[in-house]
Amino acid sequence: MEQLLHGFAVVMTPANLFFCLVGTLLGTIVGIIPGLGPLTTIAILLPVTYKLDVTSALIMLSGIYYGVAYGGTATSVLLRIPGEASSVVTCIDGYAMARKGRAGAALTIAAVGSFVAGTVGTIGISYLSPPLAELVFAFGPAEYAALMLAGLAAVTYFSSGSLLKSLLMAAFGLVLGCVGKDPMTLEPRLTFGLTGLLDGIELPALAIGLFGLSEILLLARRSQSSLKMIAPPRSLLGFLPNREETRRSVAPVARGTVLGFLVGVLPGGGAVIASFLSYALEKKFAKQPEEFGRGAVEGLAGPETANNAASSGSLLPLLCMGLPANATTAVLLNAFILHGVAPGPAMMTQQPEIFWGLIASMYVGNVMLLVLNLPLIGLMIRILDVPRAYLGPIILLFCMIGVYSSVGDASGVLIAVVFGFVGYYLRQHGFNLGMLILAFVLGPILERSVRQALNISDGEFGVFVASPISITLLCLAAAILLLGLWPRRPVVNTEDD
Amino acid sequence: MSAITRRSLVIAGGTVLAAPALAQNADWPSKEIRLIVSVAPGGGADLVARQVARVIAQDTGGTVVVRNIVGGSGLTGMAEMASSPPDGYTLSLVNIGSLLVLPHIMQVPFSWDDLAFLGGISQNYYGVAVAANSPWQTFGDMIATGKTRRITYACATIMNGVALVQAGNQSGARFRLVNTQTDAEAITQTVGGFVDIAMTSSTVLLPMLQSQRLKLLAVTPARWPNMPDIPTVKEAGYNGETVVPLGFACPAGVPAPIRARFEAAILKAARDPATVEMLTRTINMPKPMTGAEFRHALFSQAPTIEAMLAEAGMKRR
Repeated sequence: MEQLLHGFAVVMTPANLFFCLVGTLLGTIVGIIPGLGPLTTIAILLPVTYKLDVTSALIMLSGIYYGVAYGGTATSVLLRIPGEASSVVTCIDGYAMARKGRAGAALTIAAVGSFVAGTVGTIGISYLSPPLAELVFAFGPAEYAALMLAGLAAVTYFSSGSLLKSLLMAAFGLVLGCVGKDPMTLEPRLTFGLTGLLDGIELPALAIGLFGLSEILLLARRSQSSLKMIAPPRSLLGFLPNREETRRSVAPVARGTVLGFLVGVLPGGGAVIASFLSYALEKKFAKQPEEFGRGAVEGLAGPETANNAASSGSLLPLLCMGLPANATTAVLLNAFILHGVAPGPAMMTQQPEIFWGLIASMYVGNVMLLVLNLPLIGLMIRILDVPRAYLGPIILLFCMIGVYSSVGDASGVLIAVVFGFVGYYLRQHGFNLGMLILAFVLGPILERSVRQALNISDGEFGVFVASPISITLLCLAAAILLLGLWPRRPVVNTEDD
Repeated sequence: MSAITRRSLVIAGGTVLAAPALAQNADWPSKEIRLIVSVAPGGGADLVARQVARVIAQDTGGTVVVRNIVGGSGLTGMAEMASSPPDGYTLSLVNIGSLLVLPHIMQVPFSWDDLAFLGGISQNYYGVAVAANSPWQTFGDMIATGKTRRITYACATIMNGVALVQAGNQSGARFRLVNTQTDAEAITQTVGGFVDIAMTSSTVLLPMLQSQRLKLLAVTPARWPNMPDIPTVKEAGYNGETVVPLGFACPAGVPAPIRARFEAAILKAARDPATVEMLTRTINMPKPMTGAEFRHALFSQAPTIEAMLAEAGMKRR
């Protein structure tokens, strides 16, 4: 506690507060623009920070990282275009809420949920670091394989409407996840000889294609009047959620925070998986699951909280063990080392002012993000006033720039365009695209883990039931699958189109 | 026009094509020079490339733009460079995997002869790291165990393991590669006791070494400046070495005078105090190399890597 207070003393200098503000502001902006992610931004700014004080530099770069999770919501809710891959799930119920005139409420709930997740996540890093970091080392390939199976079993909760159609989409997602080099032998699979497909289909390209571009195609085919977007109230605080919405978001925010944080701590987990699992969890807990897909508050509050909690969570292995959980935290690790700081237990004892200064800056930064984002909501919902004829091309432009900058290759843009048409077709026929993305994300991790485990055990399948963790997870997977399939609720078509 | 003259024109064809480029040497560079980097911005190699871009720009008075063309496992960027016109306006950071590994697995749209190697900047330091509670105290202990059971080693890039495989071939110790997607994954699996060895570069090993969750049995290709007590694999008695140099190349047809200027600028960048400081901070070895030395450092590894791929059943061509 004393150390944390010392950390606050480090942050409360004008320079450090300024760099915290710059970082979080940049993060928000980058998060709002579809496809443009934290990775590119941090990489571009890295050389600029050489001349800065170490603590200031790290405060700013980390601010970009956790700030992004706030910004990603806006376009998902207002335009049904995911600002970040971790906001894909928000496109479903967030956008449905916007069409009912509750865009402001949706964005406020997301912002407050993000704030809770960010702050609780930071508390988690401050006080639970040593035991939670050990969790990372308890997960070997076999445990990951079991965890991914449990995640895939959760797809049965997603299915709305026809179970067959949902499973078809999951299968399609798994096939798409196989594209690219074989994880063990590096042999190209399903690449059709195209170099651009060698590293597989990139998630931003797929998500923006399936959700963003297909939406633009649907817009183009609709008449202005048939869209039925109800503008939110224009009064000063009219964008705030009402009492009913607030009440319904409390429990999902709490569950999303815990779930997201834990998923984030595990390497390879991350914000995308956390948001999907939270959605599945909320649907299972909901009193009216049939409302999911038609603007259920829980379906927005849970995932939007979980993705923020996951980005805080993935800072834990980085700060406490020097282990990056994803590509963005890998660039952050490089930034730390360039500034002469090797994150890990050694940093906590030898450079406590940097470690605790950074932690304290995350508390401050989350408050800044909330204060920045709430007034922005009133401004952003005005996007809905722009005639769709003008909005469409602008969104298209941002999607293309975003995909190009996050994939770094023109082939990514082509992939997004192709999946724009695929997504359009699938949505016209009532297929569940969320299922596809979840299977696409989980499949490759499952495959790699299974093959690594068998490689280590020399082909012995006993490795999958060798530890209590993997046995527990496998039982959980079986339970989820049975529970998901058993008491089928009356089938209600909850597709939003 | 007589038949002889026509024939000599055809024979001279190659020279005629190069002539306009030579004529332009005086005013080269007259437009922007592209430096292609096949990794994402922000990593160590990208930062070195940006440093080199700055020195080439200063040296030639031109503009050098770094283009990150990722994707295709580095193949896209390399192919883009190799197929560019040989006019001295395109060069690239060499993606080693697309020269030494990928050609054995798939069709690659260029060969060694299509490239002119311009020089090297640095080499990575690698470490043979095991969990801190491992019974092995030395590299020799590990090799001794390897003669009785299979030892697993994890790394994200197949080239990392060259030193281990060579040591195994000499001693009869058996190794099994566990491919991971990232270096961090290799490290967590080693600390967690799922694999025996993490064979990765110094930068990513550093945090876990400092917090004493991992210990080093040996290093390669040279002793690390920050851990001078750990012997190299060679010093431990086995003729194994993992050499991964960072360097640059351009299309083979670039006129010699322009190549010479690139080569000089790269050597200068390699010795620049700012470059050396950045490399030292991230625990990389500054290693200025001429084009010929750089090519040799890469080419001499080709047979070992080909044999490794064949052994692992990954070699297809």
